[in-house]
Amino acid sequence: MSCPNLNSLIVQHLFKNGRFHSVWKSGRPVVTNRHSFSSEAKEIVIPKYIPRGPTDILEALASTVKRDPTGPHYKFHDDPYLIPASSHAKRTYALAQEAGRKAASWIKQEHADLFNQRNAEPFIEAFSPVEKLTETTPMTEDLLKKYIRTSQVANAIHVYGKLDSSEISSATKQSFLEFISFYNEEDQLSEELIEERWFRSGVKGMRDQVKSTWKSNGLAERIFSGLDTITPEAYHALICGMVKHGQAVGAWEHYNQMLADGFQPDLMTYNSILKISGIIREDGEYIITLINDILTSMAHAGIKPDVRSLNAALQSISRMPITRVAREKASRLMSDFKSIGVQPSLGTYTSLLKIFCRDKGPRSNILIDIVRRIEIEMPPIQDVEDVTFFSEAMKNCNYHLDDVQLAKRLHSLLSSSQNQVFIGDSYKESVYYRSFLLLLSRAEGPEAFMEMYRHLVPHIYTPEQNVFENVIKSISSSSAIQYVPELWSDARYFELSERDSVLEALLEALTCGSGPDPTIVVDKNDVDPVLATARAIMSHVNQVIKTAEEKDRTISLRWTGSMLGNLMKVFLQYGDLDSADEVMMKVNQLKNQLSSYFPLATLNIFVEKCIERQNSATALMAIDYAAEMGYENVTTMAQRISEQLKLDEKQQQKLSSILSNAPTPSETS
Amino acid sequence: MSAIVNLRVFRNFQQFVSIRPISNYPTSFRKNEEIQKVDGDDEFRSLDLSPNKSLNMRSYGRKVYKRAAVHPPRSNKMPTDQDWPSVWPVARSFHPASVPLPLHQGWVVPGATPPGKFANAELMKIPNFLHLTPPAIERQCQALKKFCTEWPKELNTNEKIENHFPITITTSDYLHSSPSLRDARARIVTLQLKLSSLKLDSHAKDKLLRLVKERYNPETDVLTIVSERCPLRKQNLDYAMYLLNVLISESWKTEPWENEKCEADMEKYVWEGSQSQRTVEQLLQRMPDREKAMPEVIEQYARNVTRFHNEGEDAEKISDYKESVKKLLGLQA
Amino acid sequence: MAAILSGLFYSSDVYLSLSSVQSTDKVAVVPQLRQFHASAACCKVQSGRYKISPKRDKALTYEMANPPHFIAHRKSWNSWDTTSLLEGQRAAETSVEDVFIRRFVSGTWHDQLCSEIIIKRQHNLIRIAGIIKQGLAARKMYFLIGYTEELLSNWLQCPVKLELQTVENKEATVFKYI
Repeated sequence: MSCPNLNSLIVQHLFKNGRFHSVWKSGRPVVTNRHSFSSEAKEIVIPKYIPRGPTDILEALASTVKRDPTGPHYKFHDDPYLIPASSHAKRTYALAQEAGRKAASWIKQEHADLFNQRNAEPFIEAFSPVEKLTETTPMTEDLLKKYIRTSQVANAIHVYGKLDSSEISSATKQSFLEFISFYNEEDQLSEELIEERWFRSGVKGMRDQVKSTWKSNGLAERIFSGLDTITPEAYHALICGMVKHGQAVGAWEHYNQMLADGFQPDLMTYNSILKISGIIREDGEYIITLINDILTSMAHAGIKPDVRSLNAALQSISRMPITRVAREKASRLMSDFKSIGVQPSLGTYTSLLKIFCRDKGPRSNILIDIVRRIEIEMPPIQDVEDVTFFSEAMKNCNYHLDDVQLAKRLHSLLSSSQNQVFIGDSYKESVYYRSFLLLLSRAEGPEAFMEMYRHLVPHIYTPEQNVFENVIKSISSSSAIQYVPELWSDARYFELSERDSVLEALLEALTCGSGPDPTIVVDKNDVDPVLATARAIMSHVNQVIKTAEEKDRTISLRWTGSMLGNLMKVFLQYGDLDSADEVMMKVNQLKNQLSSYFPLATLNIFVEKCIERQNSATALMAIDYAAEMGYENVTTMAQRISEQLKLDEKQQQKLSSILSNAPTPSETS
Repeated sequence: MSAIVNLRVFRNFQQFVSIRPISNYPTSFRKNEEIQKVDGDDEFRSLDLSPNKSLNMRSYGRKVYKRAAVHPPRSNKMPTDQDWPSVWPVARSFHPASVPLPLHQGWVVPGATPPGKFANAELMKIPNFLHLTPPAIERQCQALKKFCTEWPKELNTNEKIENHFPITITTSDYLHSSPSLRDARARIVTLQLKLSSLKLDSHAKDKLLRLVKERYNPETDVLTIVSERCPLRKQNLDYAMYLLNVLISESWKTEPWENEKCEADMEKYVWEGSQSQRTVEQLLQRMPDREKAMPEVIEQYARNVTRFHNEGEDAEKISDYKESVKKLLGLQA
Repeated sequence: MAAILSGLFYSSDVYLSLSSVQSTDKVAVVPQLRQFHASAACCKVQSGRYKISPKRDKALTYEMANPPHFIAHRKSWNSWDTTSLLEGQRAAETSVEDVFIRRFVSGTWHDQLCSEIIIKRQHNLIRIAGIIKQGLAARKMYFLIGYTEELLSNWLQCPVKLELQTVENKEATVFKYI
């Protein structure tokens, strides 16, 4: 290891005869050499060390890795048995693993005395059990401060309760007030439980955040009213906490109280009030007046609004019922903030989309401009609302603009490695991909669509039932039958194979082909994939129904006439008459249990085939079914059979009994 | 053939139709049994205190899981032009379903095929370098380039580097597979320096060599100072620098007692001013006839005597010495 | 070995003389002293080797089929770390930890493991690999994975990663029957 800096520093000190001397030039150590190599006595400029953070190298290495579409997300185990395909499995597996972690940390807490070894050097605090609060723990202000620092809400409240509040310094009291206002006096879900947060926030995000969870007359308000001298900071803490937890009215009251007391709100308080201005004022005009008032008072106080002020104001505007006014105000705000040099974040764009693209409103191309702008420069994450942008924008692409090119641009923006954080949580992710896939299935040809489908499904996204049905339908409408077997196996993996609507769609798609393709099946032993799929579906449904019967469970899956009809059609198309016979038996067995009719045209073809093969047994079954369902041409069919098939006595009897029982066409009509 | 099969199925089918009640909500066979059992009892129905195993769900033994459909190995679906460093980004144990290579490992009798990659623990044991394929290394180097500074253009040869940066500091970092990252050996600092770069005069050099003793290697002209007495590397580095500093400044000093250095204190034999020179001069004074012709003879004699003292005694040097003495004294034979 | 044995012998000799002194004393309690038993050394080695069963139906995995002296020839080690290198640290602690890991994992994954547990350590990362059978529902496996990783990493104070391979049943790992 050569040590140039050190060298140049001590060199002057060491070399007495003045051969070397070092000088500092523009902050860089420069060593000049006079004697040896005098012909090239150049300055040696040693470049400056490039400063880097502790994780910069790791981030640089991570940037070389792209998402691998053939493998699961890294939180899952990379093993065929353990790779989840359905969204239910993804959720279960991720949460099960976290439950295991929780169980282990519970054991660690319960048997804390066993986990006190100190192997690691330097010691890693996270591996040691959290110190428990006991009766003997000395209650000090420092302990309170420590709990505030490590955000342990319940413990902090406990310690605060034990302490004499007059002895606590005002600074600690203020930070405690901020602390419990922020957390609403409740312990938050631990930061460690990533999966639980990921899946829970999805459920929470579906509800609107208007719902108030703030603890009225709770500890925070009591501390506030118990303060000797009420400071503006105390007001700030309380107002921000109330807004964060949905107590808009209380926050508004305190805000007015604060102004009446002659205190000056700070930026965060102003932002909070801007956020709730859409709630405390009902009418559009009043909302705008309030926003204007707040912004002017900010200007008077010399507080420069930031991007969060913009987002909060736009959020309030997006609640306004009248679109035209909202649009105008939003445009004004955007240009005003631009003029004071506030760059919008993604959350801003979310609100803009909400304002400009209402469900029943006119079409607005604002998203195109937004995408163009963020393609040039992606704003960093600055606001909680930023993560809602991509799902909102993709929804917009799908339902509002119906623009597949724009959707692809949006997706390529999200796909770059550093933008993955913007996807938000599991709910927003599924909204995003659902919209994307629906749009693709509508707009793209089957080849291009399947390429994208294979990239996304199943590891990045698992389609829900209705999305999957749409996919099947789009494939079937473009007669791309070669993809249907793949979709069927996907249905198995996604646990959608017991949904009758999915099966209906799949069987419908199977019939859209034009018969066997001689290029695929060369070998005699080979089975055409379409035929194999049809057989697999049939045996699968039989199996499911059978196990349900054995285990005495009620399931929604039933054979229907159209399902069996489609199956029969495929079997006849591909010349698999044995399977066709099986279908006929199923039909005859179930008869009126079938919820829809077996198609007459297919039945006719089947009878023709029976006559060709001289198979009287199954032909009789077909007649039996047709007679029972009261199809019109039973008699003609029966006549053909009795003429062209050799029937034994029993069969003759049966045929005649069927015909005598069958209603004549005139009766049914 | 197909006709026979069909007939058989047909018969079954008829039987089936005859027993099955036609209903949308089929009752299970088991339920029927259950009902029959209750009906078949005599008028006294026994109160069964122990759980009746035959009616208990648990009696069917351990629940057998309906196994979800296991995917085929994902290597089957991998395209040939995929981005392998993304598939295998970090070191991990081998997994057969993720590596699209037909691997075998294991010793078998000659001629047989070794065990394949599935369920092969040997493949999981050996460290693999699937994450360090040449493209991956290249890509990572590219990504790390932004943290590297350029090598100064002026320092393009080893001589120049030695000339401008004469001091070399060597330390070692030790990596263990253990929870501790400490190693006592990491504190050791080795400082190396070419003595010629100090430009010492003969006195200073002599003194320095006496001070450093075996730390100087005369063959390579390198002075090595190893410092390991302090607990931290930084302290050892400072100490090594301090030592070097002190050594050099001491060497340049001339203490009053240094003038007392006599011939016995010399580190090597020097002809000038030696007893031998004086003796030869005296001898030549007594042999005035030979005095004038002798400078090269005396020089040769001096060289041989010096070699004899400095390089050790052997037959060749003795004979050289003999020759020069003979020449000096003018002896024939 | 011989030197230690001879040393023992001498010391027992001293005891013998002592006991003879006590026995002449006619005291009822004669101390039962362990005598040194000298016989030919039994050079049988048995560990890691399996006997042939009468019906020749004992299933062996590849690991079991190769006795320990084939380590580094036909099979490799089950623990990989730096303790055996020159001046490696924590050799004893690491072996004890490995035993703990093996016992913990085989107990937690009861009846699921079809192979030895392979422990590979890199820096402070411990990677535990093994082959398990698909005998549990996948979600239960995930629970156990999370549990094992978290508990072991808290215990050993190193990040622990499980790297499992599943096989359909134990027979998949059988190399031969003896």
